[in-house]
Amino acid sequence: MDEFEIQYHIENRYENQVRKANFQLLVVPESNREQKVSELKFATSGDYQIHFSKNIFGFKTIQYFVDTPFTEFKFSLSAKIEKAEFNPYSLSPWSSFAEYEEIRSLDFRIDNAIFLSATDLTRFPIGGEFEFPGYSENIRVFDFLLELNSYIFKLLIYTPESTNINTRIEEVLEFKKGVCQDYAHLFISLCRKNKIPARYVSGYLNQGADFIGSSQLHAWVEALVPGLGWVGFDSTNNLLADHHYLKIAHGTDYRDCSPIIGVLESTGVQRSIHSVTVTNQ
Amino acid sequence: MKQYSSGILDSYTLENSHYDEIYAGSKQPRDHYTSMVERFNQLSLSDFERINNEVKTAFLNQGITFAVYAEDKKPDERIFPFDLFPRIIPNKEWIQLETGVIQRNKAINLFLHDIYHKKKILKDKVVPADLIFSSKNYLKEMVDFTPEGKIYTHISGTDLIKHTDGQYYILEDNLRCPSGVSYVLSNRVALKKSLFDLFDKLKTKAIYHYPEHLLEMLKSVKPKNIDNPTIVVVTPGMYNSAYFEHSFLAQKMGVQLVEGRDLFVEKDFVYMKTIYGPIKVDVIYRRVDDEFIDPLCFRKDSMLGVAGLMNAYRAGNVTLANAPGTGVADDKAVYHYVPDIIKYYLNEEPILNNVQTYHCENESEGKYVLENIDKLVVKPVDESGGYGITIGNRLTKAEIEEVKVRIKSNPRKYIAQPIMSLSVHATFIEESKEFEPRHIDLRTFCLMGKNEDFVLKGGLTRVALKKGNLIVNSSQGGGSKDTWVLD
Amino acid sequence: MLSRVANNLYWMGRYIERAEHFARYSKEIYFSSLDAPILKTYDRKFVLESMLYMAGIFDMEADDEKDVLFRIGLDSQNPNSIISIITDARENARGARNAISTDLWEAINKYYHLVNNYSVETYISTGFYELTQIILEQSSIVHSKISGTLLHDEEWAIIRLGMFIERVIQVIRIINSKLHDIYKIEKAGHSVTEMSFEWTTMLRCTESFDMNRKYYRTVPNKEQVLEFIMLNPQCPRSITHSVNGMQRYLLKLTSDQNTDTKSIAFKIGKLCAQYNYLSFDEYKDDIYGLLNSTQDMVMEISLEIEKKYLSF
Repeated sequence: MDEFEIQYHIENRYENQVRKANFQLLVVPESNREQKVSELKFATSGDYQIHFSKNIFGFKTIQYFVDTPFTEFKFSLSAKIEKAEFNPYSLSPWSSFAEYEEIRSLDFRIDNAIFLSATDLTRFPIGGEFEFPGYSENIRVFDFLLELNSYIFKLLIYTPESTNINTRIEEVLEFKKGVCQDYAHLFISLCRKNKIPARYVSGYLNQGADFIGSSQLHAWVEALVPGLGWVGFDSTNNLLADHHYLKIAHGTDYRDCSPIIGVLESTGVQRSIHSVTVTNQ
Repeated sequence: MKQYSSGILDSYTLENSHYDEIYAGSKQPRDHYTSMVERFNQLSLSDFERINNEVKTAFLNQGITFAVYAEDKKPDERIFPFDLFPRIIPNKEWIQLETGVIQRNKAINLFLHDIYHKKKILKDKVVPADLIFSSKNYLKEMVDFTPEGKIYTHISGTDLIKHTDGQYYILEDNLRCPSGVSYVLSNRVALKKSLFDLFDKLKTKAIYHYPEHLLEMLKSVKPKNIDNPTIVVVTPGMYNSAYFEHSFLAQKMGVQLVEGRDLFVEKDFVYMKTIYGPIKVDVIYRRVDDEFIDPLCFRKDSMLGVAGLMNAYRAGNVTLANAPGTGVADDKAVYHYVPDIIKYYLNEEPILNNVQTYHCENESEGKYVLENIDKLVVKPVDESGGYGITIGNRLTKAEIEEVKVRIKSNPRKYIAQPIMSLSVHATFIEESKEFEPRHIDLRTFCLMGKNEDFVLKGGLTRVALKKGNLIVNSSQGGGSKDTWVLD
Repeated sequence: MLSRVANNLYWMGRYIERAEHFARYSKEIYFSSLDAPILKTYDRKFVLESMLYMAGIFDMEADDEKDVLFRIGLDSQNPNSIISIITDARENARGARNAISTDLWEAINKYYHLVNNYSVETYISTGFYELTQIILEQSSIVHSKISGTLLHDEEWAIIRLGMFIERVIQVIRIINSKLHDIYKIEKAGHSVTEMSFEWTTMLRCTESFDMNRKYYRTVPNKEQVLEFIMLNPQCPRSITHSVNGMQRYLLKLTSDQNTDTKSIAFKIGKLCAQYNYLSFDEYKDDIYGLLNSTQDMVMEISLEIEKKYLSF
């Protein structure tokens, strides 16, 4: 059992006064079989009433409705998480043929349709000279996903601020640069292309373990392996998601997992600073 | 046999290639039109023109207008042209239409619930799964969520035509925000004022109570634990082309007409901003498209929506009519499967016919379409308002080639149907000062609530005012007629 | 009542009132000038300048009469023209369509179409009188629909409140504008009869001439006219009458007590008290000063009403 302490801080400054705003934050780690949130505290720059809601995938969101004018919005969260150690490498009891048959079956495709359909951010571009790993009935899904994980890890160069939250896969492939969400989107795109359900995951990463991308919120992918269930892959680090990965939420792509969405009555530009600290107790 | 010697319908020329609603074969009116024709023939042309002009002025003053927007120009304010000669549907025919429309919409509701929950119809391969999941109107936000009373399409508009064989065919389903009902009610009022003695001879079924049925229906789907729901109509604003209708319905129901900016969500409840503070809202008849209703969920740049509305909806604290995500079922590609959908859920034969539909994405049907474009109507599956439709026998060779290229580049986007011959009806044409045959269709309005299903008797008869034109939409130069279901 | 709808109703009331005063002022000074005894007011340019002054147009010379008439009347590019004001009234009514009666809506909509469809050619050549007359007639139809077809509740009160606020502002503008003209010619030294013509015009501009004659039974002079249209509570266009109206309708919206010195009710109450107990002698030497301070106060009250009730 590991215990982590998380600090998440966001500071938004606005050029012009904001008359009214709705903020929705998706930053609270989920509680699941392997992780438990034992302590949770929030603070904001104003005396705003906090409200918890659930997003469409059932993840806890924090809502603030602000109707007094402001020019900066600050939010911080501190949490303690208990996380069980587990071995992400486990073999599916199914044969590669049985897996293949399951994946091709109509019921499977229908039940997982949401995580099989391309979205704007995960649509695979037409053309390109890449030789991505291929999936077939002779290959185990898990092995395919491992290969894909390391292929993407080698293909892209992790480059902070080289892309933004609307960057399409075409662009990522053209410049071969990106940050964790680009790695995740590409991974998802190739899974879905091969009819393997895949979902985008946002979360915190243990900063003590020297991983890439741990200084900010991290993103990785969960893919559905027949016989095993959802398994987390992090191609930014060429690793499987284990007890160092503290999940917040999943969705079809980044847009379902944005840490903060604000709908504002204001004009002009805003500047945001996010900071994350994750320490292993 | 009575001869009509000097009436204003004398100069009317029959077109034998189409079904004429009034006349069968010769200039002899069908039974249910006899007394109406007699009455119109008693009017002199000058009387008729005077009445016609009065009605037009009244529509303008009442603001029964829509705006036509053109770039860099002040919007042009036009009345929706209204033809004084009513269209008559005998009761026997109507009963078939009414039961057919209810049957169809019931099945569509069950279909929507199914594809957002267990998806049995897809697993049983009655409707192709890819057709549904590739639709941009299939909303993941609606998956596993059950709207109050399992009702999705509280208000639907089913469009029908009458073909040369005298049979009605379904043209399309409108399951999002079908409009036009305010014109039905305003047309009736205008006709009653201008040609009141028509109503002496023939008895038509009443329609004035539609707003009361609408209000009752909206009340019936209120969230649980609410006794007296606050109901509002949400409009995109007064520059929307259907603003007249939005304000009309709100006023006739006696509820507030609000815009997105009048509402806000706090702690998953919806409130409207009044001069004395917030008032909670329970049922929303929204006339704003899905993608604009909640900027937190859908289009972030939407100024029309209410941030957090979907959260409030999914928490069961507010009812939206219609439910989001219904557009997946009125997609023109899904239309083809509606007869199968009816059989699947209701175990009944469809009462109303579909028009034969070819899917361009299907290889053999697509091939047929490309080879026979001159005999087909080609429609994009996701456009409304008559935009993007091409009619085969009106196209030049070059245009046919253009259409082929468009279909080949995105076959999923197009369907094709045989060129249906819409029936014609005598319609007064101002330029020629004569009655001439013009194509018409019929939009019916169906309400589905917890306690009753209701179809407005008659509906909106739309007229294509341009000679030979088949497109009846108001945005494309269509007009309308009062529609009488004979008692 | 939705705050947005309140906003629409308030501005609908203000624009309806504004169009009426502006049309009447333009008509009266234009037609009275045709046979005015004083040559200066006979001068067409002088009259047109006065009309531009009232319309708040300062960037044009009053050289071309047709051009001036067009700019103040049917120029939809000019936000202060009569057609723009009526369009604004109608758009606000449309925004609050389901809060007002069908009768009232149709009256306003018909009013708009009559003016909007009036031929520009006819207007600048022979139609100036007819168009202003249409406006005054339609305006009184709208008035009667407001009083006769609406529930006398808060929605109605906010329309009336808007109308009275606008009336104070317009009456002050009219007095200011006409005083401005009169002082220009007064310096030249004219007979009492000649001057009384000018004072009569001021009364006509506020539709108070007949009332004034009935009340004083003498030829109008400066003291009587200013006392009448500023202070006489029985004259429905007077400032006193209008500020009393503001108070009456505001109190239908609020339960604020006059004792709260920061409240809108207190400010209006104070203004009413000032006017109800004022004599002409007290301010005759500083009429402009009184008019300006009143106008400032009404503007301040209007802004506070907007902030408190009409923002959304």
